[in-house]
Amino acid sequence: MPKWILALFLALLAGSASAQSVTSPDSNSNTRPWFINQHEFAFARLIYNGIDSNGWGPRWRVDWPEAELHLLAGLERLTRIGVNQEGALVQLGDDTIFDYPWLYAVEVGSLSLNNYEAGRLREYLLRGGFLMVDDFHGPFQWDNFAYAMRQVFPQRIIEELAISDEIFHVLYDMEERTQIPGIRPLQEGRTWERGGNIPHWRGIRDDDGRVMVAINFNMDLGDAWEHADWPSYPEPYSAMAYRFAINYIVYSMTH
Amino acid sequence: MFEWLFKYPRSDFSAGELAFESGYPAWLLATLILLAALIIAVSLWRRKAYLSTARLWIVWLLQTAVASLLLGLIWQPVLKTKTLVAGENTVAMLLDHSTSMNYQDEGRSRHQTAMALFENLAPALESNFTLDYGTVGDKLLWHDDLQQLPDHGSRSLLADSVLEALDQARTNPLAAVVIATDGSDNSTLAFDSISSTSVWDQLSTFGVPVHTIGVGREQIAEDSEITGVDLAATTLPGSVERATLTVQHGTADAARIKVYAGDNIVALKDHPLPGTPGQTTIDLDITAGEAGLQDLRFELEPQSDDAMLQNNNRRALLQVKEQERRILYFEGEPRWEYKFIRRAAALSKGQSLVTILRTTPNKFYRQGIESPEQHAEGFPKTKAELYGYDAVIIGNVESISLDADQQQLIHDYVSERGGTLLVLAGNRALADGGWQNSPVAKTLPVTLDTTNSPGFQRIRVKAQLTASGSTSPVTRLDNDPAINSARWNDMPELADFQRTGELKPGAIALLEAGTPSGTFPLLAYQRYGNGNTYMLASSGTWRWQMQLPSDDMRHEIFWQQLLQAISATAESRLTVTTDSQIYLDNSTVGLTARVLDEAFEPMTTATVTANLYAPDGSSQTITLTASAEIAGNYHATLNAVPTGNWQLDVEASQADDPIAGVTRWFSREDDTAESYGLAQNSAFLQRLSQATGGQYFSVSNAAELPAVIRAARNGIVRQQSLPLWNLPFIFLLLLGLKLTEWLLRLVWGRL
Repeated sequence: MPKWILALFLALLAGSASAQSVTSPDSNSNTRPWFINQHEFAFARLIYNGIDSNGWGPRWRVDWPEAELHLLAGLERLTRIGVNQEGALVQLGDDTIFDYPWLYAVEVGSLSLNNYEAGRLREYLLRGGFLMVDDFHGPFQWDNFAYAMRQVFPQRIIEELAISDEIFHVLYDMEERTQIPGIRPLQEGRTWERGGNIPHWRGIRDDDGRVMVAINFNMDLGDAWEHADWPSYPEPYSAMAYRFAINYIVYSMTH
Repeated sequence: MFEWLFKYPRSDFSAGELAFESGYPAWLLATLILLAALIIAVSLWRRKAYLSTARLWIVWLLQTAVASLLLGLIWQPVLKTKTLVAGENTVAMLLDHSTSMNYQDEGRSRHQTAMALFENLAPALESNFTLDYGTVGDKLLWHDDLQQLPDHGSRSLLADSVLEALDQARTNPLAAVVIATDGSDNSTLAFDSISSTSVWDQLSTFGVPVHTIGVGREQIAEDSEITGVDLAATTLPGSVERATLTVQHGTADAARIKVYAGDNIVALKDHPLPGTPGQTTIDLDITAGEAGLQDLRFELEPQSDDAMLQNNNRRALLQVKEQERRILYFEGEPRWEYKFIRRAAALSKGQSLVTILRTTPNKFYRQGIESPEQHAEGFPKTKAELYGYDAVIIGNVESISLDADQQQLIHDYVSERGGTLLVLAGNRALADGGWQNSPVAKTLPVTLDTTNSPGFQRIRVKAQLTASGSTSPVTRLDNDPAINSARWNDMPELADFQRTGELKPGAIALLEAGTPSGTFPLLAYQRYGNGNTYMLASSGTWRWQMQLPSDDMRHEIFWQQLLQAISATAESRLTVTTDSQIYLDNSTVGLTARVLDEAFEPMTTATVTANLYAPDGSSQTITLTASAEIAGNYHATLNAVPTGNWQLDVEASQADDPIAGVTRWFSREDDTAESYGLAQNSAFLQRLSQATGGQYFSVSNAAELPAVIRAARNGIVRQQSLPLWNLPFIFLLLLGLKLTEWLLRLVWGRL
């Protein structure tokens, strides 16, 4: 056997094993899964193998942990939901992922799934799990995300979610939607980035028409949560980002 | 011996009354007795030198007794009794002349045994009574004698016939009714508890004792029979219904039951038997097919020497129809259990879940509602709003979030309306939510106490099947008990558990939770008032769904079965029943409709009509009449002659506003009734005789019957005074007293 084939095989094997291992946000911490169960709702953030083209580190950890800490405080204050104050971190290879019917993935423009991971995500969603994706922009990142979703559901289409969809009215009766900008483009005087001028609220439905993947494309709700206490970040964006998220969460717990 | 000493039968003394016929006052007798006693005492006192005081007392007692007895005879004691006037009274001798009396017991038929009995009894009775002979079969017939009898009847309407005999003899002096029978009553009355109660009452009002003579063996080892099938009349397509069969069996050690729908076997079960003759109850699960009428035949596989094959079969009609049962689910906060219950219910066509979810302190999110206004204010406040639901689920909500009237309404919904309540666990539920202080706590199958507060814990627990759970349709994940148990054993753990108090008496646990502190009720239920209450001490069954593969339907099956169980028993606004479902050799069908208003109070002013479709295609419309006895009930009696399946479409309306419509089926068969109940039904005969003040006799002690009838003195009687002065006993007593005194004096040397 040529040496380069053996090397490639070992590399693939290592990559697969890595995908199934448990990773904590801190590279120095141990590999214990972060399981939170003291309250009904836990905000689980998906750890995934993403393309790090800019050298900014793992893309899944963007805005972590401030984004969910801020959101969860609001969620508890504004609803009757019992909320764990900290978020959880899960990988598709962890069995603990099935203890968190709510999953959040950020910067999914760099999402990369192998077949095993795609199957796990498919199974998670078909069992009743809910995935919210956020903070990816422009046609290149969309294509990358859409490719990953086709791995998960080759037959299901990604559709635009109209403002009249139940998911935007389950708690907050939202009659208008605005592009929620990230902090960096906002500092540069715009609400879009990477050519993603037009915001899209999209979704993938199950066989009974329920949204199981809520896709926030060309917007950055995570930044709006994270910077809700930053005076320079406009409050209306944060307020709307909270409403979107709380509606998604209540929808995920009722449909 | 008694009659030799006392001249008259013992029954005369027990029923008679002692009196004096001389006309002298009783006080005079008492005075004279006292005087005699005094004179005797004085006389004896004067002789105290010859006898000790103790001996004087004995002599005084003996002499005083003789004097008292003689004085009493002067007053002419008599026994006042009633006596039957010879020839004036009648005894109705009824012979069961149904087909079952042809059955051979030990070499001769029951009919022959009964005839021989009557021949033996007749001479003893004819001296006092006129005997009227009748036969009982599908109707009561009177005969001059029992030599020329018609063909055997196809039914045994014993209770009806006895009632008819009593009614016809209302103006005659009827001393007793004697009926010789195997007790195989196959009238509707014998099996319908409500009707038969009134029959027993009617029988007792005549005041005529009915004496029953049981003919035939009470156990027939060589015959096995399905004596009854208990099965719901209606069900949902694809659901599993449990049939309970009562099987009379011989010495076989196993029974095989097959259930046919047409030519197809839809269920089969092998059930162990004790190997001794007796009765056994067998439960059997039947999966309902598509919508429509399922004409089911239950077959008990015959023994090799089975005496009667016909009675190894019983039919039942199962009406499978699409119907939506409405369940109200009130949840205090968004949580995963709510979502996954809704998803499981959505897969079932039979259940419609209306949910009120308190998303924020001031906001309710409602799903499954019929209009934007429905339940906008949260949990219902009136009977009209709540009672329309077939079941109610209360989730994680504090008791104080409902006012006192709403809590009482939930209690009344169960106890009065007959609805089913399911309470779920949660940190705001059960005792943690203060429900122990609510009237709702009385309905729960477990006690609520705060000694282990908080009872709700987010710990992983395993659900364990109890013995009751292993046979319950609610917890059936597979029809095979072993596989069912295995499927429960490898269920994932629940996400949480709430510890409650103990099961209440009468409550049944279907699932238990194994925790480090012990085993506690997990899923339990009990009957309360007219309804039922279930308690599920976890809100973490969603973990079953998320931990199991997406094509594993255990979570969905569990919830669909639980929702079906809680929603299946509540009464509808219109319920229709017939007094039987399969009419064997009986064309008289009693139809009852019960109509309730929106608050489920009886409606007495409704119009109730029934369209009756015969098997031959003909139809007729009947208007039911409001019952004078039970408010809300409407009755009609139908004459259904052609055999086959009959359809009844019943509609209720109020001033042209429709209330509800219900379809029911019943079936008619001929020439089969007498095949059932082959063994002597002594229990029925004992009840018949006890209800009327009569006695049950077996063939062996039937000879005592004439004396019992005479002693009862039913019929035309006259008063008579039987003189007692000449009883041999009196003379013997006098002689004995004087002889005793003489013997004592001889011994003492003081003659």
